[in-house]
Amino acid sequence: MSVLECKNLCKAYKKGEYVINNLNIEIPKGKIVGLLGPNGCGKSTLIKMIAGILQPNSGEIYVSGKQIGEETRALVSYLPERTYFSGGMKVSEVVKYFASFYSDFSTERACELLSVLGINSDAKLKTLSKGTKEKVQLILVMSRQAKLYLLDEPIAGVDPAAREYILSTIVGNYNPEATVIITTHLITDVEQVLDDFYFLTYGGNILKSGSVEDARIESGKSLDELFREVFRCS
Amino acid sequence: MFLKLFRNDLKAIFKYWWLGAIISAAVSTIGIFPLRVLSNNNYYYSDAVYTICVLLLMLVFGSIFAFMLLTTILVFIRYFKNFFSDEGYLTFTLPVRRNQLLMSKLLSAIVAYAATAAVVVAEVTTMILAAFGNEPDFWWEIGDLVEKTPDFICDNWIYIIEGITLALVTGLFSILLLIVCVTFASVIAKKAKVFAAIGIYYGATTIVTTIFQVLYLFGGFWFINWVVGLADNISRNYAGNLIALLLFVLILFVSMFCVILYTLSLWMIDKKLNLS
Amino acid sequence: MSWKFLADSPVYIQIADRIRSSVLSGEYAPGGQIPTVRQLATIAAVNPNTVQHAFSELEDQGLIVSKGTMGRFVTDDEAVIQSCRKKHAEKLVKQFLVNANRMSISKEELISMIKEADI
Repeated sequence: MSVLECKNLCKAYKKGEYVINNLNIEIPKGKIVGLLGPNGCGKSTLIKMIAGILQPNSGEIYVSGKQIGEETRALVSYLPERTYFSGGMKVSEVVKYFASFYSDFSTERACELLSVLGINSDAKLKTLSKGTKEKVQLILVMSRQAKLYLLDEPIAGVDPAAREYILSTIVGNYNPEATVIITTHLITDVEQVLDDFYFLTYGGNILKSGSVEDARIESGKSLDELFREVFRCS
Repeated sequence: MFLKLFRNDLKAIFKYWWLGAIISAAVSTIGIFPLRVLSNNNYYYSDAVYTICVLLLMLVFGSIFAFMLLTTILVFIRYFKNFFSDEGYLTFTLPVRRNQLLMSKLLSAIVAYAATAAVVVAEVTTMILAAFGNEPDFWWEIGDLVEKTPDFICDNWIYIIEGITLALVTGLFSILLLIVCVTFASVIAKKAKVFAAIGIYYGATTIVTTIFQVLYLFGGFWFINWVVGLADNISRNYAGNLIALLLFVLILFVSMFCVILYTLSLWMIDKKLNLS
Repeated sequence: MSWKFLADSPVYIQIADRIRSSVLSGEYAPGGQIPTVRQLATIAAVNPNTVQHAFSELEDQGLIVSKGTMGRFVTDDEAVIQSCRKKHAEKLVKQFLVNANRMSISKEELISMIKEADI
């Protein structure tokens, strides 16, 4: 059974303007997948619908065969573009918060990752820099044993050293029973981490998809170059 | 799961609630002296003193009002921040039902208001006792009231129960009104959601209070005229029953609105959520 | 530091090349253990399936051996390593000569320069 299945998915923010238009996608488990496309093409919209914080206009989404709801939220670990903690909490309190709601959360792993980065558990979140906050969020998301990880632009707005750390953590967390979906427009950094890619275009449809390795062999180009070719601005 | 949500909501609301409680309690102790002065019929103070006493009492009632306002603000902030700010990305992806999220907010708001009411009652009682506690007349009057209470309750028990229920249900209604307004504003507004929420809440409460005042005035007049008109023909008992029935209908009516408001809010956060 | 890859060939081949270089240079000793798929993937920030593919490639060539749950090891068959080294040298030489030829440097010039080189 695939980890994610979308059938005839449609979403329009304004009447007639479809951001996602009749999208059909099926992603198996054990993959790290890139959802790539230019800014504003609907990547975040799709991710939000899978995470359950946005309702599609029509169509269905299934995570491990279940419709989006309380059950799928337990299976999905979502990392949004923005930080979602209340600043007044301490790092240790947020860890406890996660642990109390998610049965698949590993406090040991979270603390281990936090200490490797030298992040003080007693620090209040609002005192941390933006980059550190994002790392904390990533650690919390990755410390769960979810079936589907949704990482929305995990490396945008982050310095190169942090990017390496983030990608390393994503890879190190790999689980053949789970799938990771990464949305990004920084393809060069991310492509070596991906199994498969999906090029999403304006109007909300999959323009091209496949395995990254095969694309390299076929076209003789890197995914980044392929992307530029496909989404040429002329 | 629900208890965890509830505990977190309570913690967040009560974090700053204590400030309001302590300040209003402190200010209310000041009110003891003006009460004593103003009720003293044996000794007459200067006008200046009386003016100061009145102002102090106004300050005391102002602080009580401010405390209640603070509670509303804390409930508002918790609801808005946890649901419709960036925190919403975390809240709405928790593995809990939307119903549990909303119910936790509602119950924590009820607890907050109940706590505030309890503190205010305690403050006023303390003020009165401290001001008049050492006057024998006062205790004699209290004793008299207490003596008469059981009979009063027996005669009017149904009105008392209905009255209390109506007051509670109206309180519940006003909390739900706040929730619906904030939810509605956050769902339709693209920017400045907080201001939209405050604006819509203010507008809604104004409309609702106006409607209630109009209904109360006209309805009240009409009803009294009607009852008086019937008074010749009906027994006191029958009139009493009519009033009890009216109260009961009012309770049902307001309760129905409470359910509608709750369902509406739930529907909006379930189907119309759009975090920026 | 994550590994960087060129655009012109598949990533798994480039990973295999790197591991091969490490074996030939002695960094991974004959018969010695090499990192697991997960370890290598994390260090290099590369998809584990790609690393797996690279390992399979090297296993096919006999350069590394999988010993089940114990992990993967460099072959202790010196002959295999030597033949690998020879193939690698042939590739280097070919590349070198092609590049030099493109710039009109003759083979004789190259041979004398190599003999005099101070490395």
